[in-house]
Amino acid sequence: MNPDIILFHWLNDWVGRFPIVDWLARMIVNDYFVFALAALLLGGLWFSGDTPEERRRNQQAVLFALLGMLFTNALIKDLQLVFFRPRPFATEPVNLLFYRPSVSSFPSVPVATLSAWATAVRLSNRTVGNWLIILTILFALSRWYAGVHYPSDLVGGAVIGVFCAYAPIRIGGVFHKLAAGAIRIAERISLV
Amino acid sequence: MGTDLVNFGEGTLPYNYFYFCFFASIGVLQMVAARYARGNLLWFSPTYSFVLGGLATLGAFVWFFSFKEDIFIPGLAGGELAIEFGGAFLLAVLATRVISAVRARFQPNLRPLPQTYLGKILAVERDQATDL
Repeated sequence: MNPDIILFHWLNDWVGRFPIVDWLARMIVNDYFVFALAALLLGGLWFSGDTPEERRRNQQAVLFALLGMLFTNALIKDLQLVFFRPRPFATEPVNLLFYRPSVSSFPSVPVATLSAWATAVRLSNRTVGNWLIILTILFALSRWYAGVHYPSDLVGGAVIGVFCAYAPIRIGGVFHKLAAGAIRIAERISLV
Repeated sequence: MGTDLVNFGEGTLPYNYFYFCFFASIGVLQMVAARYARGNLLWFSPTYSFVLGGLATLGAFVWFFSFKEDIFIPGLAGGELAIEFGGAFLLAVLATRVISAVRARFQPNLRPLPQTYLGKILAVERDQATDL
């Protein structure tokens, strides 16, 4: 049997045994809770910093997080044009705690987006980056537990997200100039 | 409500999500303003701003997640969520700036966040891993 399916059932088969865990998973797995929390962390980070240099570094991290999200979503959209993997509930007996999404199971788009945010921020601000990593892991586990994704979908999403956030930061050049320009515009319109 | 690219769907969910993002953003901005002594964002003294900001954020979450019937069915997708959050956050920044400017006219000097208790609790470890 496919190890991905074995791993999927290893966690998903716990659904229904502990109502409190099911309730927590439903709170985390939905489209709003973790994303709102992570976006608020990014918004707060934009205005954080004791010194102008620290604030500028945080703002650069937020911009790279958004750039990473853009690249991640573009890459996955292209990938899904040529590759479609059915969701676990379409092929397996599943304990489903969520509605039935229709897009390809692989890779997980929300996990890829959260991973991109966490990577970009972690390279600049360890504390906020660690919180974003914790949120990403919790969200990925809840998607697995709730029967929405196979484990490999989550790992694939995370790898794509990390790559799409890390590459522009390391390539530098035009991306750093873009970020600096965006911060200058934000300063002019009192958005910092 | 929407175009070919984004579709905000029907019902009250898009409005509720916008209000949720707006009030949660206001709360976060007040907490950040209190922590980093940002006079151009503060509405009250730092201690009050931090506590009220925390309550606003918590209240927004509790209020929004009480609409269980809307949250656990297919609703807003990634693009719509990003547009709504971005719009609500920008509006929250604008509201924060305006109210803070009005406050500054009447109360220009605010005492900083006390470093003895709340300030220490809020002190964030800001060790930078690597420079971007």
